[in-house]
Amino acid sequence: MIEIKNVTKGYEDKKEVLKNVNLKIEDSCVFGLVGINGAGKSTLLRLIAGVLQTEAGQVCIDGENVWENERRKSEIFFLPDDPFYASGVTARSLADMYRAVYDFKEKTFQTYLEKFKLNEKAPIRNFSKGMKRQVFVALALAIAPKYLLLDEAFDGLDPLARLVFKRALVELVEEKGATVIISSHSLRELEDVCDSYGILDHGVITCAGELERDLGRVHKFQAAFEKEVSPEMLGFPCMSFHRTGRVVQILARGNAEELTAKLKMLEPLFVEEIEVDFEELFIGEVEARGYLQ
Amino acid sequence: MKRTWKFLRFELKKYLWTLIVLVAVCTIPYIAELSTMELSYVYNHYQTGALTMVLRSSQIGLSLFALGALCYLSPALVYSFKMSKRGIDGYYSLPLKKEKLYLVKTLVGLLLVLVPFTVMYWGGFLALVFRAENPYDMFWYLPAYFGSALLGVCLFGLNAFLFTRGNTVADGFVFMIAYIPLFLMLYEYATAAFDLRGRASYETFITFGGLIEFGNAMHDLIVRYENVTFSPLTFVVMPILGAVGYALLFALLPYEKGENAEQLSDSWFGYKILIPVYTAFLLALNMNAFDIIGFCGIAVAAIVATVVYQRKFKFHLKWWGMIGGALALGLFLGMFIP
Repeated sequence: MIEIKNVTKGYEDKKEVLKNVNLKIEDSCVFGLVGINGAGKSTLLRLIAGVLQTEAGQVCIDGENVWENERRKSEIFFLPDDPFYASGVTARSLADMYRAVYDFKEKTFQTYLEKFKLNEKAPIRNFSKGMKRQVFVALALAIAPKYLLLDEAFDGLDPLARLVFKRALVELVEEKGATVIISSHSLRELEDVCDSYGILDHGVITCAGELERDLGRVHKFQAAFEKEVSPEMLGFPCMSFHRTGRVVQILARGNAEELTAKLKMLEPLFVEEIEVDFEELFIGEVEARGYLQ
Repeated sequence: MKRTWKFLRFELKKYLWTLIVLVAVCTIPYIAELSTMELSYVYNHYQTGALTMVLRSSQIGLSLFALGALCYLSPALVYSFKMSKRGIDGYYSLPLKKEKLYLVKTLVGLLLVLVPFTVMYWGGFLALVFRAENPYDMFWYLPAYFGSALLGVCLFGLNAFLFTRGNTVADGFVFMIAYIPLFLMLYEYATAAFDLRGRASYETFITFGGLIEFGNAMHDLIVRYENVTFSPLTFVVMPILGAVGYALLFALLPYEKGENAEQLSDSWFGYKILIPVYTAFLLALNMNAFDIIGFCGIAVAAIVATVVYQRKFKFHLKWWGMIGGALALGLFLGMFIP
């Protein structure tokens, strides 16, 4: 289990990117780390990977601090949003580097290179953004770490490569008990694979939990009213409220029947519940915190 | 440890082509020169008419020049990963402690210095040995090699530390170059203020000066000059500087912050010290010929250096205070120079 205990991290030009963050990520799950730009997602992943040192608090795996801990770091593979490769480097030479320090499965690497139709001897600098990403995805899957950290995981990948990657991630979790932490703005992609999630806002985890359970707790209603309705008239707090003419869309937490009953008290022309997805949950959360008003 | 060895093997393999290129660039022209140059000439004394055979330069200095240059190039080749955010993500996330990562990089850096130098040096030696007429005292090539290699190892250590104080490759180079005359400038001030002139040679206080001094002495012995002078202080100063460089490189690793990559180079061994020291001592040393233009020139140079450091034209009041303080210190120190 990954435990982030009271972690604070700041940069010189931007004080406290992360403020006293506490988070527990259970083993064998896919955790989606989401937040607006500059929320601190990449910093948190870099702290978990042991790239950066915390200013206060600890990042622990099974109770052991990750910082400068070779044994724990050998269980982690971090794929940043802009991965490192030197000029002239090929997929082959990258594989050689990771083979030196990780338990590297050459057969898996070759399988994914074939799936992505990549030439392992061609310089990576000549590859497109998506192809570069595919090389690193193949490397990550060949290392098959216990903890896989993916920053902007699906960025640049074409739909087919995304599908292959998502399937591989699910396989990694189900067959090898790996834990995958994905930071991405593609929330619909995350919803396909994530079991749990955390929303990071200005360096603070504002919301975290099991995705399916939390999606079940949030309800989205579409209703039409004769008269103008305002959020104050609803009788319950809403996460977001959008009105287009007589039609309103409301996102709120609570019991669906109770919320529907309260809406019906306002004598709507019609009211219906619409399924909520992760993106709507995220937007509702950030709207509730004063963004996008 | 097994992982560190495997990583070292990988790094050696990674730098193999670089090493081959460096060996070729150093060795081929050197051997070509030594194989074809004239080793001696006959000097006809214009008054007495006596004929004397004079030995030409052994060109050992070329190999030492290459060694010095490699000591500046190699740190940039092996440590530049820490000057990019991507490099930091790539290397610091590997399951290797920083000490082991930097140990591997340092060993590879040393090999990039010593292997091309060794091949060039002994290649040149063989080129001379196999020439029919060889008037040199070839015995001195042996101590010259080990002495130079030791000085090279020391210079690499110092430069490795200085280069890694930079958060960008350009700043790393600036630091290595800025320290070349720094100690000489301090020595110059000391000799001027306290009348110490002649106590030590100037080369002793240039970071690569030891190579020049030792190279000159060895060259003189090889070409059979008499009255060869050499200050053993070189083999005191350089090893101390080298040892301090290696020690600080590793001792400061726990304070090395990954997030500093590509940021301003804020090290206390960088601009923060170099700008005020250069400003103060250049002003102090030029007090004798003090004029308002000279003062303004040094002040402008200090401001330009601060702009380079801060990467902006509008910098904080404290940096203006630093420049002002350094100028005032320079004027004060200048008063002690008779």
